Amino acid sequence: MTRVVRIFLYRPQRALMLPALAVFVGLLVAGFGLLRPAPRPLLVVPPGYVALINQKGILLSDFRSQVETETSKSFADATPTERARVLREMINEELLVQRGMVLDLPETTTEVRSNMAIGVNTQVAAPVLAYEPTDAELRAFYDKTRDKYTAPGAMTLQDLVLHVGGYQNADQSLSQALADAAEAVYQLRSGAAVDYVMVHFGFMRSGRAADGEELDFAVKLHLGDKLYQVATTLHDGEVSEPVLDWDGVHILLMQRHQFPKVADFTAVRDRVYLDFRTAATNRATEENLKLLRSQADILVAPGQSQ
Amino acid sequence: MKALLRIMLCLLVLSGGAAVAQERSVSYSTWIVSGNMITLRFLLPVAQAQRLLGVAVPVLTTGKLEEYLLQHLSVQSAGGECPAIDQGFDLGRVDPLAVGPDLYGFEIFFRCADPRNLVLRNSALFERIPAHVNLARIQMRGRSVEQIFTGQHRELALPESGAIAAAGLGSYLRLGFLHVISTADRWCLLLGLLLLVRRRRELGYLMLALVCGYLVSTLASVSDRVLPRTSLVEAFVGLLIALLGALITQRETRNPRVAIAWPGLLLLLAIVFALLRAPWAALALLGGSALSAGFLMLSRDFEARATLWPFLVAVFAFLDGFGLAAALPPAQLPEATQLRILFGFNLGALLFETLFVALGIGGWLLLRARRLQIPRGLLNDVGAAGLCGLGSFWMLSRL
Repeated sequence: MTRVVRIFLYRPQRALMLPALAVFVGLLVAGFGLLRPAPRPLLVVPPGYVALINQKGILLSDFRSQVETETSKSFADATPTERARVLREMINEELLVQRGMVLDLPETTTEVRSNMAIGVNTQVAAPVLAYEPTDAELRAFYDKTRDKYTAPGAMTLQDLVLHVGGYQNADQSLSQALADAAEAVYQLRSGAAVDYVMVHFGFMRSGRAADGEELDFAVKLHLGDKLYQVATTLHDGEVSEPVLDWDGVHILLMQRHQFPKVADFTAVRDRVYLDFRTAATNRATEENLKLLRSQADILVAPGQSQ
Repeated sequence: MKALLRIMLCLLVLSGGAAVAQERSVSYSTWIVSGNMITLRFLLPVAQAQRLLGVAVPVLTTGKLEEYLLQHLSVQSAGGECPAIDQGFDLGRVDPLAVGPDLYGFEIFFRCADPRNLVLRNSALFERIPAHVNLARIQMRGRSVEQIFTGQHRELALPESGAIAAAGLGSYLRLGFLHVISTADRWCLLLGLLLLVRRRRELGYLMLALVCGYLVSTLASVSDRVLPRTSLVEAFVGLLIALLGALITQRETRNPRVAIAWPGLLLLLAIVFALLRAPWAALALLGGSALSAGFLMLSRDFEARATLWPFLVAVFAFLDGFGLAAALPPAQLPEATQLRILFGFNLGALLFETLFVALGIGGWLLLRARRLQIPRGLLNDVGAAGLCGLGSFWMLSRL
């Protein structure tokens, strides 16, 4: 039995050593609770870094790529002067970034905030964008969003109007005008000349339709919603039923109607590819925001909503 | 024993409001003089700012502090008052800085029409916290020196030529002196120590323990290897005060249960804090429990042969020596400057403690010389109860 063990087993040594040990252990344990290790500043540049600025490091890999970008040479071919210049620029930039952080620019400056938001979204989208979709996936996406890939339609039409109670015929009532218009439609459908019908019933060109072919959106813009809806139903050579609008009774004569048509997948594959990636990016951004919101503590003032 | 416990409980209850020790209040400023422009960076710990303004919302605290600092920080020159300039955008004259979660930071630029006879003025917080200290760094003509602003020293005139002088050792010595004067727990502890002194040579041990404690603490602080958990250190000082009380009680009553009851209570508290998921407080209490148990047993069995209590004094001095060290990291001072500051501060504390003990012993001897009978037994009983009560209160309120 060693002497140390004997000390703890027999009196009177035990009566001294055990309390002394308790004091020692007590101080040691209390020391762990009362004191904490001080953060040690880095005094040498750690491996993998090229410089330390206020304890923040510039990565060697970043330095290499920056040298290659700025000099358009490989890192090995860049001269010491060029490398020094690039490093100086990177240190200057780091100093400005650190100063920006101290000035709390992300909280106070709109441009910094929006760039940071874009940066986060880009980072979140990076893994999604790295994935190359297969043709089957693109086709499935195309089928789901087919409406987006329609070629716009075009129309060549005439719009005749019979003003009701206007200066041409002040005594004409609305019912008379509608009856005249119905008769005019009948005659036009029977092959009567447009000019004849216009003169005979007192129709005029409304001025809302262009002389030549117009794209659908332009037709809608010029005719107005009510007449455009009627026009979309007409085929080549058809004459519409009389349509009552704010300025009188209209008759539409469709000369040529090129209906909108869905583009073939192969024709719009590039667009589908871009839209697929945009949709994936948006999904990633939304999921990221959903996660951030679930982890955040957001308090909204009474009377406000988001 | 029961009477003693009753007194102790009464004191514990009554001590509530009066026993709160004054917490150290330190802020930091850097004044950079460059031509006619003086840049001031001011840092204030969050806890102090909230206590000062009574606002817990950071935005409101920042806004109020900006106004407050503009009114209390200024630069005077030969051309009159140097105005704080508008920093553009929507910043105004005080730019809030992001300097970490525990500090509020502000930057002000003063532009002087005539940059001669510069006088820096800092009266922030002194009217509300008289013991407040601002650790200042002045950068001028390529040199950087440390200065302090206190309630009594709110102005600093900068020399026209030559180097600006750093704050002398005396300034820090005064801080240390005031640090012990202004804290009730230190007074209590010193009074407790006076009750323990019985022989002349014990006074020597007491002083030696204080010197050793402060010395080790200064060296540990300057080594930059450890930092104190301030509130826990202050709680442990409370624990030491209560332990002194328990020691006196054990000596007076010769009751062996003291060596079990007090450590047992601490062990129970350690378990409670561990359950409350406060690991560092639990560790401190666990260590305090083992220390108390061992120390009380040793004192009981070996009192006749050795004077052990100065060991507790050394532990106290070691912890007290971290008083200013805990406040230094935000100032980012060089090692030599830290050593000078801490040496002066701890020396000041030591001087006051020496003076206190000398006055106490002198008073005691004077009373004895005049043949005045002091009921030593009553004094010890009441003193021990007071130490246990107040010490426990400080320990629990700071954990």
